[in-house]
Amino acid sequence: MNGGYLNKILRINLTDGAVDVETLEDGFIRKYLGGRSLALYFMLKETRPGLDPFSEENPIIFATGALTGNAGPAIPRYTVVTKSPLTGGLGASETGGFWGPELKFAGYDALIVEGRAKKPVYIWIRDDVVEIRDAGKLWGLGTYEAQKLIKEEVGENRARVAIIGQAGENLVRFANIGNELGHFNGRNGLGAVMGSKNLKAVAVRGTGKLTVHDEEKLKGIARQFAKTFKENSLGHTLFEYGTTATVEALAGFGALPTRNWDTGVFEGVESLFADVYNEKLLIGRKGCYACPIRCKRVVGVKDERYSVNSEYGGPEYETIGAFGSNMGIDDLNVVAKGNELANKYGLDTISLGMTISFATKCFEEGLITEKDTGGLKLKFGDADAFLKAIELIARRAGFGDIMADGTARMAERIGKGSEKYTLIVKGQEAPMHDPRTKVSVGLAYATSDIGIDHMVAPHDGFLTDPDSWSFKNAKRLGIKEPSGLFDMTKAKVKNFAILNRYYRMIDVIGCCCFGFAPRGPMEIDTFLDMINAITGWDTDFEELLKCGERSLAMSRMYNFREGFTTEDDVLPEKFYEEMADGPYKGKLAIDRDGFAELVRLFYEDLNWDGETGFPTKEAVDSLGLSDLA
Amino acid sequence: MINVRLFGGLKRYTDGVRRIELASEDVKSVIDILHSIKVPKGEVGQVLVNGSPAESSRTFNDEVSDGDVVDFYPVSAGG
Repeated sequence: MNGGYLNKILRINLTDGAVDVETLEDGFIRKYLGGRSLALYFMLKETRPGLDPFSEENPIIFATGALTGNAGPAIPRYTVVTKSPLTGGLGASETGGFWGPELKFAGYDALIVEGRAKKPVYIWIRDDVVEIRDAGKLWGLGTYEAQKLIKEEVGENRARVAIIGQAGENLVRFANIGNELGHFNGRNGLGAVMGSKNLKAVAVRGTGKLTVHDEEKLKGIARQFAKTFKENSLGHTLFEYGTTATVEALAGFGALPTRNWDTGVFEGVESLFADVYNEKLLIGRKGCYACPIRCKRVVGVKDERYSVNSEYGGPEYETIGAFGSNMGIDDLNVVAKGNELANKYGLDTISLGMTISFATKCFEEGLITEKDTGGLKLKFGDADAFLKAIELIARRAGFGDIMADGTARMAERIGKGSEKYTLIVKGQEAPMHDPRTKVSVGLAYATSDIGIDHMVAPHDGFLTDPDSWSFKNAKRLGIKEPSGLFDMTKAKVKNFAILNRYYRMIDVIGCCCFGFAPRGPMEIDTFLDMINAITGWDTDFEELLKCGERSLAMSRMYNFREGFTTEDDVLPEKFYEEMADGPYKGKLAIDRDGFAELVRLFYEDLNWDGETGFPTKEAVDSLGLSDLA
Repeated sequence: MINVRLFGGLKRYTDGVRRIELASEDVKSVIDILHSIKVPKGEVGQVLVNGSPAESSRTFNDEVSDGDVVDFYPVSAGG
């Protein structure tokens, strides 16, 4: 039997209004698991190379995983996939929340949206009834207002809504897609592709129940997890602080991105600490479907100048880094306000913070002036200028129209050597982690299919101590040796390559990486038991890691088809330079040739050609991907 | 006296207390401190002794002496 999933795809064409339900062959989900792999199957099979991401022909696919929506902890996730208007390659981003489970309750593993509506619309799915509805009065509204109106209009308060704000409508190249106002498919500009289709939202309500292979076993695992997750340090920290304690963890290395990464030492860092956040902003905790961890923050701001609607989620670490230290801002109220605006307009906070910091750096260096910015005086530490810049970007107003294309395109437009102030890989802006202090994050940055990304494997600190919980769990995946944070060794590559496969598997099967070993609370063999209790597959990690490897190969096939090469698997220049300040001042520059060798070894570990970086014929055949090559 | 400071989630091991003073007779090295405050070494991402890194070997056997400020930071989780 197939437990936990449906083998059904809903396909909607916005050009002609056609709605079809397709059945997946038995074995498809076990082979691909779902998420990015499921979507890539259709992207490789059905789309032609070289599409304009905003063209009618570029589909946008919402894909759950085999586990998504079942009654276990940390399995709420789904992926949105399309061609990215930011990178020109694969666009993909996972999120938790409630929308993915609801799509499964409605009877579908995935939704493929094709074509383009003539006027603004939203999709309403209630089990097997699918409607394309007019969104004329929703267009131009922020996510909170629009979501509220949609729920009223469909008469279903329990509908879950994937939605874009004005940024997506205005084709901002780093617009996101949100659900329930606090969960985001953040990266790669996916919201702009929805906007290009005149698609404001997809609302779903499902009344079906997922059938699992062994319900009693799953219940037992879920109960035990709820009782014990706080005994694990990550589980405890996530409940207590969300991801915000990362500020402190990175401050210890002098590696908190500050003023467009000029330094990693921020003089106002203590004002951004997790305990300050809890005291100043925190008014509640939220979580995702069926997950007891509740790592999401609910915030309120007492300072009236920056008051926020608490219905929007609170800032997470990436946002605190991008809007706080990276903008030279030491006031969490301002960070919370910026976060509210980003969530309202539907903007990826990482690319947004990095884009404004880049513009600010260019302004302070005199590469652009008030004449270019329409009078906007950009200055690190200036809250008003920062918040104003967000508004301009969301509306593509004035200088915001240029910023809305992201830093790579801005740098081309500004010229004057401004590209040296960008921190991008494959056209996407860097997240808030310095790979000089954890080298495998560099491997992730250089080789990630969606452009620079920090969520493709556990970071190095989890694999340094052979006696740690995380290392012991990782051994079960085939990891043999610990490796130090700054090591540039074969063991470093091997560990990363295994965990890259593992994290990709976690992503595509519908899991949140916060829930599971090696670093999360659920021990590794219990995780396997949970997968088998839901699916009935009697699978093992060898098969599951192969699924991760298959997915990585599919991404590679797509990106190379779109013109990427090994030359795109490099780091931003900043990371080949020494640390500017802090405990490692004058040290830790990543050796360029040494790093290139690590990347080559990574290719070989995946059975990709060491020189071309492309999956070998043997790899493609052994992964069962010949029909997609 | 050795002045110990804990950051982020490591404070769970000290009931939320961030600063602890330990008698210099009782602790001679970083690992002694970890034993004393019952923090598992696998949870520690970074140690600074008077602002300088002390963790590169992961043995935590760096010596500490009277007046030192020893900072413990958690492993950074990402995300």
